[in-house]
This record gives sequence, C-alpha cells and structure tokens, in this order.
Amino acid sequence: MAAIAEPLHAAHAAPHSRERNLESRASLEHFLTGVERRAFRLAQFATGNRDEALDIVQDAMLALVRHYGGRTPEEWAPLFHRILQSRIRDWYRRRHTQHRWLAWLHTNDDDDDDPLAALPDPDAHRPEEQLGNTRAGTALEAALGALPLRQQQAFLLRAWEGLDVAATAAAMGCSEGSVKTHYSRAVHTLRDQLEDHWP
Amino acid sequence: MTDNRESRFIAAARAALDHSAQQLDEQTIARLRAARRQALAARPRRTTWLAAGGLATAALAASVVAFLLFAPAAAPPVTGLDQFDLLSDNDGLELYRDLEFYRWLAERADAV
Repeated sequence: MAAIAEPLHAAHAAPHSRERNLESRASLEHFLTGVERRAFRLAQFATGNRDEALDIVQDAMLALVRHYGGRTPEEWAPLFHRILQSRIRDWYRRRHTQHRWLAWLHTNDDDDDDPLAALPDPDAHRPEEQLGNTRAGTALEAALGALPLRQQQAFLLRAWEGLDVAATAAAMGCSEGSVKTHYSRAVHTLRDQLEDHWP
Repeated sequence: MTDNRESRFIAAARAALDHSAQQLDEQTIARLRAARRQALAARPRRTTWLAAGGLATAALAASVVAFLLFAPAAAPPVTGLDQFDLLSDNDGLELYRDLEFYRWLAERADAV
C-alpha cells in the first residue's frame, strides 16, 4: 500500500514543486530587474568604469541566486547589497594591489615603451559614461565620484536605495555610527559642491 | 528649516540619480539583462555532507577564535543548517566571516 501511495504522493508533489520553483524564479527576476540599474550605477560610481561595474553586478546577481535564491524575498535586498558592497571592496583591494605593482614597475623600468603604461586608468570616467542630461545631474555625478568610497556608498544606499541606518551598516559591514558619520559627511560635501544647482 | 533644505537636496539628488539610471545606453541595458538571465539560469548550491563537514570544522574554528578574541562577551551563535552551503566555495567563506550580519538579518526577519 505504501509502495503505491508513495509514487502517487510524488506525482502530486512534483507539479507543486515546479510551480514553487517557477514562482520563486519569477520573484527573483522581478527583484533583480528592479535593482539592477541602480546596482550598476552604485558600482559605476565606485569603480568609475562601466565594464568593471557590469562585472561586479553580474557577480553579485549570481551569488544571490546561488546562495540565497531560496530565502524569502524580504531578505534579498539586504543580502544583495551586502554582496554588492563586498564585491566593490574586493575590486578596490585588487586595484590597490595592481597600482602598487604598476608603481613598482614604473620605478624599476626605464623603458618608455612599457605596454602596461597603455592600460586604461580605472579612475577615469569615460565621457560617454557621464550620465545625466542636466548640468546638476552631471555635477552630482562628478561630486559623488570624488567622494571617498565609504561616504559615497553610504550616501547612495541611504539616500537613493532608501536603506535605513541598520540595513546600510549591515550592507557595508560597519557600525551604525560609522554609517551616520559617512552619510553626514557626504551630504555636507555634496551640498557644498552643488549649492549653485540646488541651493 | 535645515532639515527641510536637506530633504529637498536629497529629493533632488534622488531624482537626478533615478534619471541617470533610466538613461542608461542600450548596450549597458542589454548586458544587465544578459547578466540577470545568466544568474537566474544558475542552479542554487546544494548542501553536501562534505561541505557540511567543512562548515562544521570552520564553524568550530570560528567559534574558538571568537571566544578567544571576545570573551567574556557572548559571541553570536552559529545556528541553522541552511548556512552550510556558505562554505561550499570562496564566496561563502567570504560572506560567512561576518556573523554579525546574519544575526542582524535574522533579527530583521523576525521583526517583519
């Protein structure tokens, strides 16, 4: 009897499981669609490079789906931003190492034809990447790009993503007090620099 | 008054940032779409007994280190078998370092 009941149970459970998977996938897609552009801009402000930003966002999306796709949708936003900020910090560490290596080569190599010298500056913002149709938008972008990373990301997460202090601290891996300090300094600097546009 | 001015500034900045996100070029939008589809096509990581064993070892080591560093302050408990997949690769290890985050996330979920 049990041998008959079990396949019947499995036959009924399988469609439910498929439905749940499809529903979960649709929810994940909805979440990622809603967050991907802002996530890209967050990473682009941090790196100043479109391709690097795209790689970071792709990596964050993949990590979210692989590790946390089964979590509740309410958990996805803080987890995604946590992963994104982690990837951005990794990028900074790699860039720092690369810069030190390039600086060492520069001081130890007198060859002016060094091909490494032709590598693009990761800090350089391409003209076509300067988004924003208004002068204020362009000025905001430039001011954000010039902020220290922690201030920049604290401002974007708090003011743009709408995360509260606790969620921002969790995403950035620092204390709530640090978030308040970074955010306050960022707002102060940005308001000073954009006073002509938004008095 | 200052709060009002700051609120207006934040609202203006948010509008400018929203505008910039809506004005992304087609190539960038296409690459984001492709990245999303690739991520969604990825299979979620499953817990294996090997990974679980690795996590148990790592969790034990982390608990000892936490105890040595922070005693007598109570260290956040490592609970939940669903965390085991975190140690199945380097991404998981990296994320697992900050146990405080997961405690915060659990508290947040309980509050909702």
